[in-house]
Amino acid sequence: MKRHQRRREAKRKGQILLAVAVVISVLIMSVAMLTYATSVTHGRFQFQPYVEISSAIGADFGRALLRILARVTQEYNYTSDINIARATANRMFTNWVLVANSAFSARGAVIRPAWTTSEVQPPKTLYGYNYSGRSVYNLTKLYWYRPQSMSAIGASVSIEIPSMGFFGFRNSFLFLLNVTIDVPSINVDKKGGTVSFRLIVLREDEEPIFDLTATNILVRTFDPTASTSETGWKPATVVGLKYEGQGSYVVTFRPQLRVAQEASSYWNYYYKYLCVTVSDSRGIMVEAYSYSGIEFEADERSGIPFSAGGRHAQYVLEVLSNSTTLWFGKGLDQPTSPPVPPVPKSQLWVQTYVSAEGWKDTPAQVETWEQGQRFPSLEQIGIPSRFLERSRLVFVLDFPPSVDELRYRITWQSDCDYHPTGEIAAIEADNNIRVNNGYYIATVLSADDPAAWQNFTLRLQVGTFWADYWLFGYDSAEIDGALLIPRKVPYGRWAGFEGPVRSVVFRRSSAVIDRLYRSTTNEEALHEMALFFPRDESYFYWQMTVTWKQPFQLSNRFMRMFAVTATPGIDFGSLVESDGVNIINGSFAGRLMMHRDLRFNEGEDYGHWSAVYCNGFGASMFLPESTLVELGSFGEDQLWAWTSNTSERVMEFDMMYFRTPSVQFTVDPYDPVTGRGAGWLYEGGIADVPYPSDTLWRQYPDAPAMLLSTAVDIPRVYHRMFLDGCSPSLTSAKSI
Amino acid sequence: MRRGRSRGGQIRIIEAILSAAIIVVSITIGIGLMKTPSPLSSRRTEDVSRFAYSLLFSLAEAETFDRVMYANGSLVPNWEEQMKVMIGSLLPSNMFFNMTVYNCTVNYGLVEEVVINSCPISNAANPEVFRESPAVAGAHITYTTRRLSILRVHLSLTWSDQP
Repeated sequence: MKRHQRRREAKRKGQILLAVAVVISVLIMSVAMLTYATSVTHGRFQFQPYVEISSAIGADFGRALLRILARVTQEYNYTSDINIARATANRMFTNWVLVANSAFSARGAVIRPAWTTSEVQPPKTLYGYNYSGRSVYNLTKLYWYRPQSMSAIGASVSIEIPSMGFFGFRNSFLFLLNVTIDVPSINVDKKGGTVSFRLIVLREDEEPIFDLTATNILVRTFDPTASTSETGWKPATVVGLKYEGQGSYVVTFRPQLRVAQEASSYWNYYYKYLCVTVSDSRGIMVEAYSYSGIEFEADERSGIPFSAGGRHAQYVLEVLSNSTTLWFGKGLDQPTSPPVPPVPKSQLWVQTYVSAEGWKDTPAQVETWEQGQRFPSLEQIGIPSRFLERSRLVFVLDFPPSVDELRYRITWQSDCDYHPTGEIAAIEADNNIRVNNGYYIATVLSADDPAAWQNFTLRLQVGTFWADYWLFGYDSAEIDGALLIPRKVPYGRWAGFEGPVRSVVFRRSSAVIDRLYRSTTNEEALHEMALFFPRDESYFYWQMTVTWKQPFQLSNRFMRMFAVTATPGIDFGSLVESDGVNIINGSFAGRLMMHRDLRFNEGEDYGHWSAVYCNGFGASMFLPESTLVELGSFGEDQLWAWTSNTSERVMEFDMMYFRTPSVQFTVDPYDPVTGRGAGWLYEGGIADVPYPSDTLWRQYPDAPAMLLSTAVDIPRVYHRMFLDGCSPSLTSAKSI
Repeated sequence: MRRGRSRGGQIRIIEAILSAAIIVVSITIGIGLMKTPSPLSSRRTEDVSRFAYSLLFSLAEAETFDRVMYANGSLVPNWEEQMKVMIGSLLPSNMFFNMTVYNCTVNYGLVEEVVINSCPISNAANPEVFRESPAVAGAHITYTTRRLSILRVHLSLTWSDQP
């Protein structure tokens, strides 16, 4: 019984404890929920301006992006240097992030921006030109210089304000200006003297821009009558702007032509080549062109017989702003061609069509020449700038063996971040300028001290062989029984630049060294010389103008145009073209002898080329017709060949042969000496079969003229590249 | 048997005290948190603060800071007066404002702010009104100008209950 009672009592106590525990738990839970609900209600009553703060940050972020894009486009348009513009953009973006974080830090805002990548235009074909897909990345992207061009910027910003319980806000922005020249709509009104075209201007989300005025649009057109000292691309006057809705405008303009009455080619041909720059009310700019490139077709006319495995004929072409194409300093025959637009030089791009490979990139470089395109210049090296009247686009036109028709394109990259491989750089030089073109090493003597003068202008070295070329010299003298021929030679420091296609070394100076007195004078001649060393080629070429500064007397009339001396100490032979027949002089004894001289035999009998050679090395000289005419202007010209007592074989083209006894000559300041020529190095050869002809080549018992030589083929074939009548011609030119 | 009954009573007393304590604490906390803001000092401040932001957004959207402050890349002389007139025309007559414009620059990664208004941009004759007012609402935004200067614009508003 007692046992039963104890059990009932214990059971009742347990029930009470359980009930108390449940009640307390419910109470605690109720209090917790009440506290939470109170807190939430309190938060709702408390004003937290996170919407305003995030809106303020987002709005100014978008505004900053627009400003940055406007600045980038303006700066790039002004400098042609995307790196400067991009650096500005990045700096401003960073500054904005720092300032915004600082400005809203008191509110506890954390701002995290990010660059975004988005496609703004899929690949497409427009007016026959293929556009690859366009994307925005790296903050800003500029796709200019096409009929459809755009500037764009894209980024996002994430905002968190932990103190207000505000998380996960992210806003993405994309701003752009898209300009399209409706190329088929370009229409000329010859009678009214105007040109019109349709222009479509859109912003992001293909929203039309409808508030443009004439001041927002700059149209530049090419004036074919422009002088050589002015840019052919001139701003036109917009005389009409009509908005047609959907972002479409009809622009009517009047071109600026220097000689209006001679501008028929403009109204018939050049009117369709437009450069249009649009700047919208946000300050964003876009530059568009009505064409995307120029395609040429060239014919090889040298008649060089290419056999299988033969060497290519590689011409270094130079294209000016008006598309005039030069080779070896002379314009090629060409049809009227679309002008090269004033794009930044870095955007230009050359491609050649090779049947097996399709369009293939061709190395190119853009040089700056002086106003009038007469002489190279060191200006603008390393400074981005536009392709204008002083620019030359230089590239190699490489005719493979058995190919005599070649198509090539000059285009301009649309992506403004394009960086060409290999740009022009000035050649650093102390006394001498050295150029390694991949085939030879050229050393051009450049010293201020007359004592440092050497007996040549430039030396070309291939392995252990070298050839010394001399450019111009005049007067002669005798000292201690030795002759100084020439007595006076151009002198002064050279400058130069090099690029992926060629190196150019040039000098304009009045300094002339008098070898008789080891002194210099600046009173006699102004000489301008430019030497061109194409990369990986075995040739170089030159151009020269010497202007007499006043009439003065030569003590003994003598004038040399171009000469070559081969490596001393080795027996060399000589080759001369004579009326199409090769006169060959083979191996000789290393002693003093006169091979050809107008005083002793028919030295005036020569042609376009000559060469000195041995077995393993040859150095030739090529002269075009115009230089031969200049050589013969006094009627005293000759091809002189001589071996010195140190066994140097010398050959030279003289305008006036050396006289004994001396005969004075007064130079004429109105009769400058101009010339062009080339030198070509090759493997030489051997000679055989004596050829007795004292009139053409003086006979020596141990050095007879030779009839046959294996060294004749290269100069006989390749000198044709340098003949004016054999230059390539351009048979067609069209815009693409 | 007597010892057991006495122990049970003590436990119940302790339970009652604990329960009461919990309820008191909960109610105290709840009352504290549920204190509603006074309409004058908070509710209206909130509205005015929103209004200040809205006003700054409108000015920024209309590029007012570019148009009023700058011409040809330089600060317009006496631009503060123009700004004062413009803001004054947008506010009710019993509202006082004070705007401060800072030019923010970054030097070696540090943000420096320089006040560029050479005189107060305010319609309050007595600047003490902002100090003495029981409720002042403020808002600030950043504004990037067309010349890529970054401004921080602070606007303080207060009001007088007397029309």
